[in-house]
Amino acid sequence: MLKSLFLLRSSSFQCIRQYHLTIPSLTAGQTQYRGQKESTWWEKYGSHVDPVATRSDLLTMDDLDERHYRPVKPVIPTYQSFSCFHDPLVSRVVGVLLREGNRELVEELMHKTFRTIKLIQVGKLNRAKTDEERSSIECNPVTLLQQAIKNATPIVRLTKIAKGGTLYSVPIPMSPTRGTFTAIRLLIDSTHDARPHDQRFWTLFAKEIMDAAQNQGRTIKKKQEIHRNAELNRAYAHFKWQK
Amino acid sequence: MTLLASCLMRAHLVYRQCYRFYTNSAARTIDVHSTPQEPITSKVEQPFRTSIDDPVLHSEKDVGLFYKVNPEDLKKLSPFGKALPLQFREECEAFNETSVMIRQPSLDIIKLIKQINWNLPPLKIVLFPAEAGVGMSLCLFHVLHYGFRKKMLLINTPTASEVLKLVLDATPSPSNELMWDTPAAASTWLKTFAINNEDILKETDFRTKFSYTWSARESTPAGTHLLDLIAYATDRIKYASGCVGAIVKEVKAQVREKDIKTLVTFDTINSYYGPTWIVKPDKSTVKPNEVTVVKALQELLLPDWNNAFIVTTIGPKGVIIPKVREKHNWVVRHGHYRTQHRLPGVLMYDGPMTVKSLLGTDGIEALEPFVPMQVEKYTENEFNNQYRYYIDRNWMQNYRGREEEGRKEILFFSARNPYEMAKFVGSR
Repeated sequence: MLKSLFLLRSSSFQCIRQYHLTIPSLTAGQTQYRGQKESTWWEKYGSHVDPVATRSDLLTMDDLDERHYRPVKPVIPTYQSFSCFHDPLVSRVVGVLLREGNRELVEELMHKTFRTIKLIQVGKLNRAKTDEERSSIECNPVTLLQQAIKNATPIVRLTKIAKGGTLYSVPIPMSPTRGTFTAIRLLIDSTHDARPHDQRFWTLFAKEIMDAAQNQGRTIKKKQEIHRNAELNRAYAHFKWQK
Repeated sequence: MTLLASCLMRAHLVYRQCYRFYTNSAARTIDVHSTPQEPITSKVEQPFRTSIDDPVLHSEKDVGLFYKVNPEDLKKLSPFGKALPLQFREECEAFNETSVMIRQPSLDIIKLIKQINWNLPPLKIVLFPAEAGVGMSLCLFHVLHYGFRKKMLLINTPTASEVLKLVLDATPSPSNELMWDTPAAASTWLKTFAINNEDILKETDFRTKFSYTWSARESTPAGTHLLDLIAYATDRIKYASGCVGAIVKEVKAQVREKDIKTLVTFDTINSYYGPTWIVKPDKSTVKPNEVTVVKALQELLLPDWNNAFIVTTIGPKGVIIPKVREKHNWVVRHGHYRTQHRLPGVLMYDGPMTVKSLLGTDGIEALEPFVPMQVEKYTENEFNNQYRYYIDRNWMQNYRGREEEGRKEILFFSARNPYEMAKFVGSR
């Protein structure tokens, strides 16, 4: 019967290890891996050929082309798409929220979050009396998310630098990628702490995004906390370059 | 340095190799929101709304058009807001109006209502879906609105009767030992009945024919107005379920004499013949026959009265799940994403999605003979109208969705299924 085939339990109870250990020399022995070349998932792409880049290339490909008989690299990873609704920032947030690789669940959560944001904002829009109010209300959830992340990115972070036997907390500039990640993580953590805590994740997340886009709320407070701590330790900032 | 640290450093170096794979292939640099494009000029097209507010005046020409429901009518029809599905209700709050699309099945039912011979036992119609999420509840709402405007007596069980099964308070019945009462659900039903039919009950001065004894000291004599009976039952919630049975009995007996036409509607009638989620103290489930309200409403389906018209909907396969806590046993469990490709979790229901298998033998026996009407997915015209409605209400926020390419993509993703389309458009 179908049910018995698919009733697996979660991966921690499973007898077979369900994920790859990625260091070949240290893998434990359930696989017959003896260090052969190109048998790990990232080494396999070493010999893959570049894919077709444009439509004209595709039409003018000849029969002796390598791609007919050699493995071809994928153009974009599985979680990206060429759909006109795809957004790289949303993909990034999905990646940060992922747990145990359950991408579908997180995509559903994001869809519900965006729907909640839209319900609130479009409600305000359709009830607004004047044109000015209507132009001031921002309904697009992706724009709000971008605004929220922009407002919530800290610029500096504290790192420990050892000098003369003591560890000092030194503020150093943060790279933009790391900044986006920190902003997303701050949003998620403040959702985790949000009250009332028995509401669903997407409603609380929607409220956090809208608050952060307005420069209010817990997320912005946490970012300001980081900046305040960095300001306090401003005296040691030169330690980064002095050695 | 420890072994672990050295391993982690080596792992980091090894991982660096695989970054190459992303940079050698075509890098994705398009940010979809940074390049807005010109919106397409709208051609002069057929309108997607009707100005005809009254379902009595709707005709075949209006298929696929939206009509706006009067807010007062809506308050009367669904006082607790249960006649419409939750998602739809939320969107209506956002749009600041309630617009329902006129579709073929509801027009067919209205045609039948006009043609029927009221002296025969009630005609039963079962709306079954071509696929899940095809808009049966909204068709039902349209028919209900028609009945309301035509001043028919409405016996409407608005919620998916799952509410009868998800109850927090199921008490053993005071009058009958085997039966189980649901006071809260029964009182909401009674209030809905009262608000729906206030005018008709007052006009025809509907009084009870029989007297009812609730206990040794409390009884209602024959000849009380139905609205008073409902008020009494709302006060004494203990007897609310019994009151539901009383009203059903009264309606069946008197509608023939008073010559009032009745419209009975059930949403997801297959939950009346499926498993309940009420559990007795000794951990055995209660059958739907043993719940007073369900038993009373099942008597409406019997052919021993006339002047009535019954419309029902079949619910999705979610209604077949035996116990709410064990829903996760009925969903596919996946392995790890790297080793096993997977689709989103499906509810494991092995039988076919036909009327016969969703209703079960009890349901078929009770409902037979019935007229099955299939509710289809959107046609091209209906899909376009729905798309334009969403744009008109500012629901489609991503500017790409308002272009031709976006429309084609929505068509592809939702396959013209109303529910899928609403979900897709709701998150862009």
